[in-house]
Amino acid sequence: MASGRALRCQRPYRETLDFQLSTDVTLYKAPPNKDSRINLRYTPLLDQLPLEILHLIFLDLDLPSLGMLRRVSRIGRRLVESLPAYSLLRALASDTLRVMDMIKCSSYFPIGWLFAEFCYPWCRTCTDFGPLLYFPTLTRSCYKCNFLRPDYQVEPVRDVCFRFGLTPNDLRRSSLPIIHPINRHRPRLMDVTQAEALGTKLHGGGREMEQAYQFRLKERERDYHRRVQQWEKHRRQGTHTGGRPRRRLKPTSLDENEDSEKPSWRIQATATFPYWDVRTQILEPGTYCKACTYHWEEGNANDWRRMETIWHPHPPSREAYYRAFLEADLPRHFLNCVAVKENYDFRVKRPSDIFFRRHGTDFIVGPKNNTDV
Amino acid sequence: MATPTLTFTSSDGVDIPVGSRFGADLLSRHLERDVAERSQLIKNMLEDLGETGEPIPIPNVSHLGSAMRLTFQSTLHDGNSLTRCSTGDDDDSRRKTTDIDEWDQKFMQVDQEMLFEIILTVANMIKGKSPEEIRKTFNIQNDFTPEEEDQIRRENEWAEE
Repeated sequence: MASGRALRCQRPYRETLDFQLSTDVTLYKAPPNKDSRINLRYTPLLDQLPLEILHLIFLDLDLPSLGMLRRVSRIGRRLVESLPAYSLLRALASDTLRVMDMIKCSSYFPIGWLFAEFCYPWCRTCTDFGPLLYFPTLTRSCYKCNFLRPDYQVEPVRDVCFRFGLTPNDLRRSSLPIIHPINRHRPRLMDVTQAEALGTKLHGGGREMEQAYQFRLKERERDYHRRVQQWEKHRRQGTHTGGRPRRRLKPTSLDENEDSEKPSWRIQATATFPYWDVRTQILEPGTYCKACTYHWEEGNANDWRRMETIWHPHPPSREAYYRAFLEADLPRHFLNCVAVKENYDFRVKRPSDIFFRRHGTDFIVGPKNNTDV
Repeated sequence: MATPTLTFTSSDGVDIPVGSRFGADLLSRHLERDVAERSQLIKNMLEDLGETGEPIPIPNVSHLGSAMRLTFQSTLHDGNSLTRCSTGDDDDSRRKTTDIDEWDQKFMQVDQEMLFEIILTVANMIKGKSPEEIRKTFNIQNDFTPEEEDQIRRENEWAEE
């Protein structure tokens, strides 16, 4: 265990969806109810069911439905607001809820799922702290897993549908989450694993789905040649109007046989999501090692010089920069942190063309207690 | 001596399935009178109608969800000894969950799967509905003033619609 400087910031990653939010919007907070007694004569369901059962029912509702229920009557509003999952999420994870609404993902999941992830600290696919929420499966996760693991791969809906032979009707019937873009010029995205599972089911097996895909590829190729032939014919006649037809690209990132480039849509269905410690009642958005942050942002990382990490998409310095911790776990990290041992003077800023730097609060974290600087 | 049983019909004349507990007899057509009388609504109706032997007509009940609601109403002991929904900030009438009498304890030993199914059923009756549709489904009166209603709708429309 060792002491060191920690960093906490509101938006630690520029790739996540919440980075695109403006900061001037605040969540509506309901004013305190004026009536202390409400006539229940007209609310038979709400009157007769115990609060515990009502809360179980509410936990199975999605956020938009709870919003509607809240608008039904005063007692409805009070009951919804009495649900800890609802009030805590609205008060403490408002940015995540805003993102969910903007990408039209709120109605896919009951609030009980969301609250379960809110109260669970670890990435569901590794042992690190998970400061992110992956929306297609509503999974708490860390940056590294989002960046590298196949469980967190999203691709444009059109590519996924072509690759796995899905139609818009298939998607509608399956109710798989579709991630709408915050920036309207970007495509809609969906989870590749979910789409592949659906395609396999609909085609009656992976082999059949693959055969159908190869057939579609040949069809597309034939269509391309047909368009080229027509274009050449019109050109000879002098009646062509546009340029030579282009070959439509294959969704190569979805093709195991192709050398796919760096996945470009990763982290595009993910936002930061704080962790609520039910026992201590403390909200932990994730704490970062200041030395690792400085090491990466000031261009001191030299992983690209070393043969063992030269081609790694997520080399050690990058991984250290993106890794979030629970504050209590940082002293263990400081003990073996390479960047901490460099003993950097954080006041020295190198002029650089890096356009993103984390902005937040520094503080010392020690094995037992911490002190604000 | 066997307890007299009652049957219920919906407003459109269809027998309503009821039950004194969650489980195999949930969808029975008969309900013991002493259990049924635990609902103030049904007790009042029985007093008004007297001993006719005819099915008891229940107004505004015409589908399964309402039937389940009736089951709840019939069996939830009128809510007096179970923990009820809080109606005020300082609701003294709310009793501790440990203070549950034998009948309620027995009642709460329900088939978990059935309870889960009922919760899902009620949740499905709410999901995707507008406030007006929810009011109609559960016979709830809108007690918001137009200004309050408009304010609630505007203030959180970005997050919940």
